[in-house]
Amino acid sequence: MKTNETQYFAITAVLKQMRTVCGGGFQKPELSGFDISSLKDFIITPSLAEPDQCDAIGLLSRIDTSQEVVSLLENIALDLKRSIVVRTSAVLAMNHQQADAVEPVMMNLLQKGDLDFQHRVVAWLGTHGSKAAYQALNKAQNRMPVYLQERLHNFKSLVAFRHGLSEGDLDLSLVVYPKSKSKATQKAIKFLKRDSKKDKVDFSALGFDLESNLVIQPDGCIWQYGFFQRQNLGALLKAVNHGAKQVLGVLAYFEYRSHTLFTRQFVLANHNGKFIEVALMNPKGWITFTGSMEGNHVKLQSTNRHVGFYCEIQVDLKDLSSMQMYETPGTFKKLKPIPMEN
Amino acid sequence: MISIREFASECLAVNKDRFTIGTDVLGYAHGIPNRRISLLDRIKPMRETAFNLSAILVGHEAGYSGLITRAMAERACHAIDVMREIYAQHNIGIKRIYWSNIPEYLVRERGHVDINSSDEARELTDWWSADNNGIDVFFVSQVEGAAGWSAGENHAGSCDKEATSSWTGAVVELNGRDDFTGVALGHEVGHFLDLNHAGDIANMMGIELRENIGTIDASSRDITVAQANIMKRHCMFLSPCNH
Repeated sequence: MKTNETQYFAITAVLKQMRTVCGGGFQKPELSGFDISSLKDFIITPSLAEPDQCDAIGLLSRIDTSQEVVSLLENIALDLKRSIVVRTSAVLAMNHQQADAVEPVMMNLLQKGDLDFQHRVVAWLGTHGSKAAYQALNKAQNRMPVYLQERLHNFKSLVAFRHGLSEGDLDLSLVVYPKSKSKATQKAIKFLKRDSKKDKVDFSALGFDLESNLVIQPDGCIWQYGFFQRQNLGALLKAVNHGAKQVLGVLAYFEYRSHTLFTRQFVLANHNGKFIEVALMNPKGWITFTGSMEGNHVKLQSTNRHVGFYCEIQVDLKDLSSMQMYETPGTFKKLKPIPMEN
Repeated sequence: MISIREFASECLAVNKDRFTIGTDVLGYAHGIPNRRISLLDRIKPMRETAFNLSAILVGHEAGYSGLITRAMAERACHAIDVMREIYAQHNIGIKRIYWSNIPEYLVRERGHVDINSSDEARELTDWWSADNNGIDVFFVSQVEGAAGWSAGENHAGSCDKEATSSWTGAVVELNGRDDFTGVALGHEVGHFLDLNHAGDIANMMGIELRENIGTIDASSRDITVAQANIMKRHCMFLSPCNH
């Protein structure tokens, strides 16, 4: 779809509502239809040093083709046409490092209500050449599809929650960018393709089923994404309706009121009936857990040290209100292999 | 006279009314090694200065469908028996064998399918520790450029298995020949127990090729008295259990 003059003005009008777009900019200014370099004035700071000054956070680095830029800007224009008040639109570059940097900023802005994300959030997933991103995705405990979707889910849920919207009100686009020729990117793409095949995840849309928020893996395990009250197990029932062999995932959240107001959110997934993985959002980013399940009793321990504390979660899946979480500042317990009977 | 039943019950904490020698006493959960084993020779050192061993199969799945094949698991048992034989020369016993496994998907997620360096081996031991009092030995399907990794020169392994400031286990590959894997296991556990390399390839702690002396092989089984004494001072050794 070609940009035209109408859209150009629409885009400009939208952007003019912003004081400052922080973080990155368009690297390739030429765009068929108009000169995107005219937007430069609105893309002021490449850093997120002063998030309070940002009306929007744009990380559009390494866009090599104009088409993506066109699409993104069209989205903005479409919003305007629909008379939706678009104060800002977020474009997130989400490789590992960037996401880590952006998330707290986003949350901070959302908390203060300074940033009004409405209806259109475009998430840009940067698999584009960052060695650190690839390594983090490949070597850290996050499997790539899960990781990416968790990131996305995290953001989406937060936006919806803060604004009293349902997730369906958010139009979330996801792009995997396969153009880079760098070795790291090629590896990442290879990795994506492999998992795509293995996990039957459609990476063209990243397997993110916006309706059910479920990813059902070939072994019948389910990754479940959503934003539910802890008592709400409707999504699990949905999983059954989706033909899952086993219902293995459950998700819950609760507000963490003691020293922050951030929503804590759990994504549980069961592997092979024994091990469970959980991701928990907190202000320092995602904490991941691994643990075991006996019957309905789940015991989990945190696995990443960078958050600086050790967490343990115990829950009876039959009674999610039994969920308890213990935190021990400054300590970390190693993961325990599964004992085998001699 | 040793009563196997009493010994098994009181020293190895196995059910004395229902146990098997191969699995419960010697701990060969994946098959009795196809080699001559004298029960007396194996048990005698256990009553002296001994330690427990925590054998962790990295990537093992039920039915040997994971990274660890049946042959590899059997090789681990064989290796433990070879190490027992080597250590028994100085009455150092290996008492209880605790088996555990790390699921394949977790190994893959963390990129520990192939251990490519000492750093990766250390990372593996930093992530995991078995919940028992045995020396953690991570049996992996493949180690690149070495047969295993463990604590370095002049740095014994830690007895605090939650420690991350020092090695809390050894890593040994299961991709070699049976007997050599046993020597490699003895070598890496030797490092953990504070042994440095020795300049004699007949010695279990013989040095690698890079020092231009030679490479240890399946026959490198000597331990000196001095080495044995160093090892016996390590805090992983347990009180004697005499019967």
